[in-house]
Amino acid sequence: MKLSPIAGIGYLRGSLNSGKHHFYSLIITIIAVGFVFVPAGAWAVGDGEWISELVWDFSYFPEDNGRSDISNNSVLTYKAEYYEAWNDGADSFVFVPMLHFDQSDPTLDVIEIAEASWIHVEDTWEVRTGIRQVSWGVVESFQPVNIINQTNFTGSFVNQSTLGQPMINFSTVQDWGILDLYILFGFEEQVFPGPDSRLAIPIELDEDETVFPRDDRQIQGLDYAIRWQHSWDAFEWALSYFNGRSRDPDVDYNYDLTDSKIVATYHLVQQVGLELLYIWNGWTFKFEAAAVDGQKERGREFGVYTTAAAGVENSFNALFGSNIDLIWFVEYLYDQREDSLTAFFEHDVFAGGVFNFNDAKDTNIFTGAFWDVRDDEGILVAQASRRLNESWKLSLTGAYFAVERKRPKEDIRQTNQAEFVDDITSEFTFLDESNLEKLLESFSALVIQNGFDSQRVNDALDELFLISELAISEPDNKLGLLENESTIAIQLIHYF
Amino acid sequence: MGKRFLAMLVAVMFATNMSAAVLTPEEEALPPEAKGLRIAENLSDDQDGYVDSILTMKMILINKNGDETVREMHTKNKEGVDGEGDMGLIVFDSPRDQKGTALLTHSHKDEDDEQWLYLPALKRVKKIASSGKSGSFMGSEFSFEDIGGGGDTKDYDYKWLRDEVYEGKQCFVLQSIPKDKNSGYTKIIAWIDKESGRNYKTEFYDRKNSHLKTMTISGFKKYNGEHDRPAELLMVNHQTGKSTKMLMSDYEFGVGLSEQEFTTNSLKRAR
Repeated sequence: MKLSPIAGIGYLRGSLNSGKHHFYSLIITIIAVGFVFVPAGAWAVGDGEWISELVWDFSYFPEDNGRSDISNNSVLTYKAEYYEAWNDGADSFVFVPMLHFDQSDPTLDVIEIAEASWIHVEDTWEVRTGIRQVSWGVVESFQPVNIINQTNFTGSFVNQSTLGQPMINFSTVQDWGILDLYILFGFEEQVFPGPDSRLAIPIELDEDETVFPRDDRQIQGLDYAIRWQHSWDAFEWALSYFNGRSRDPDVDYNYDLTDSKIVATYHLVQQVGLELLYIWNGWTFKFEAAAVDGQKERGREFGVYTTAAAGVENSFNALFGSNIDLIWFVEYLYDQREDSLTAFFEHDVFAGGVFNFNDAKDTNIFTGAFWDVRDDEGILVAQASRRLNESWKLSLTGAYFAVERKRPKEDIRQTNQAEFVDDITSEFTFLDESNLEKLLESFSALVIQNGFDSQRVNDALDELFLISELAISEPDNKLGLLENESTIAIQLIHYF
Repeated sequence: MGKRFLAMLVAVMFATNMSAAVLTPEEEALPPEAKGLRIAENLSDDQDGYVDSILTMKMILINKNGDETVREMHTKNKEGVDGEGDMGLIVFDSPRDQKGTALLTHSHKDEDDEQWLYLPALKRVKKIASSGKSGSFMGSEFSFEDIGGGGDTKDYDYKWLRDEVYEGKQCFVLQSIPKDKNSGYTKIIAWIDKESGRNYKTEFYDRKNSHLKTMTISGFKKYNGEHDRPAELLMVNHQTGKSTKMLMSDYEFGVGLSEQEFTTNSLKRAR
């Protein structure tokens, strides 16, 4: 019955796109919370129920990745939940604050409001106001249509979640299905883990340079979405439309070797999503696809692109006469932006299974693999979890990155400057001329200032290697950067 | 063929509302197979019109050493018409790591039931294929088959074995043989009160035809003068020494639940 480990392994995407709150968003959060409390009117705080959990996530990285000093890391998360209902359940309020403490990356220490939402229910419709979590999609390993909430990676990769999104959501249940209308307030940026962290982009993000292109038609700060969901017989489907700021940034390099930074641009996009699910004789068939318009890559348009995922699910009960059952999945993931850095799952197969032991401790083991069928690289994950007693739960996770950097790290530092300029020019042919010029100028400046054999220039060249690896020069080796990032993780949860 | 889920079990499977004895004197005279079928049909036809109900359940898993694990849940049910369109919602309250997990079932007479599972950690509603028959339900000694409400009378071959006094009550001893090869059982024997139709005890025999489990049902009580319900089910597994006790309380009937309380929207906010 439990599938959560599978959601956890979407972390590869999360590792690039991790996020946290900004002050701007916190202010919106506070306004939204106020917005929730005012209509709640006569409601008196304190009659509801508080529950809490404390989560310890420990990660160990057996291999040195050559960039980070970190071989292990702990993250402590405190999560509380307050719930209260009144008017015979016609009104309810939920509030979920979270605190994260990251041992080695203080930028990931945050207070987060995952939910602060008031729901008012009438006979055929309801209005949900405040900070909420909305999950779209039917496929287990990756949900192309899921867009409302920004991805959160402040916990650990086992703990992947999303950031609360302030909204007003009107939902109605009719004979012709369920219709949801969303007005989304404010926008959460992604925060890239610092270059010294593990499972991170090795170059720092320049947060001051983040760009939010404007659109004349857009009321600034508001995004919109609509989703219609219906079922007939053993079919279930949904159509969705999103108009607003892309949750995935367009990432570029600042082309300045004297002060290397990554810059992010959040473009305005439109997305149309389709979800299909069909159940037949114990089999579940799933398909979902999103067509996105307006996304760019390093500022260049590439028109409408499609991401899709399709799969099957089935289960074996009472394996070998035991109480164990197995739910297994095979899924295919496709992204039309094959050469794009952020499109990790461009032609990948995911296969996995959850063994549920059906015991008093709810022991389960999940194991699965993503495999890039064209480029022969992949990720293997295994996770075992069980309850220790009523209030403690333990999970163990292993993630193995079956990748190799295909390009040998030849040392062009031995060459002279003129040859280097030739190399760099041929290596970075995908760059605009102006960007290439900027890059060379900054390199010259470094050399003039420090001398060609200096440590500073050496470091800059290392960065240059990384950048070329990050960029599209190696679309067949996207996981190359994760070569030494295989991880063993422990998660311990205390409920109180 | 719809398989009724746990909530349905307690709301319906043990629901009896016999206004007279289970069998008429004419039916008593039938040959054993026909008499067995008659008993099953009369019980099945005579399920009371409970309209809708809510109740709280506590499942206690007891291992060989007597160690207990408790799971708590509460349910809402709404009756359809002629077995079509029954709806059920189960919300799990404990253990804590499963708190808020909820399951919505729409039962259908002639096709598979529809089920949606809500996973609170992921904020996700997932439509799932109905569960396989012989697997354990939530680690208990009840299998999905046991709590599936026994399906329909046409899924079994029945036979009246004998009359017997069980704890001072005159009972039919009824044998049911599942027709489905995927069933975990070769036969099921039930002790049924000849007057009230209450099922006091059931024995389950595994594929090797050895006695696997015994369920005893107790604490019957009439609610609102018409809804006869048990307070406790005890399932003992004779082969493993483990047992599961299911305690039902806070029954309420005719609470006025609307269909809108059994949608995926209501599943998401079920508490």
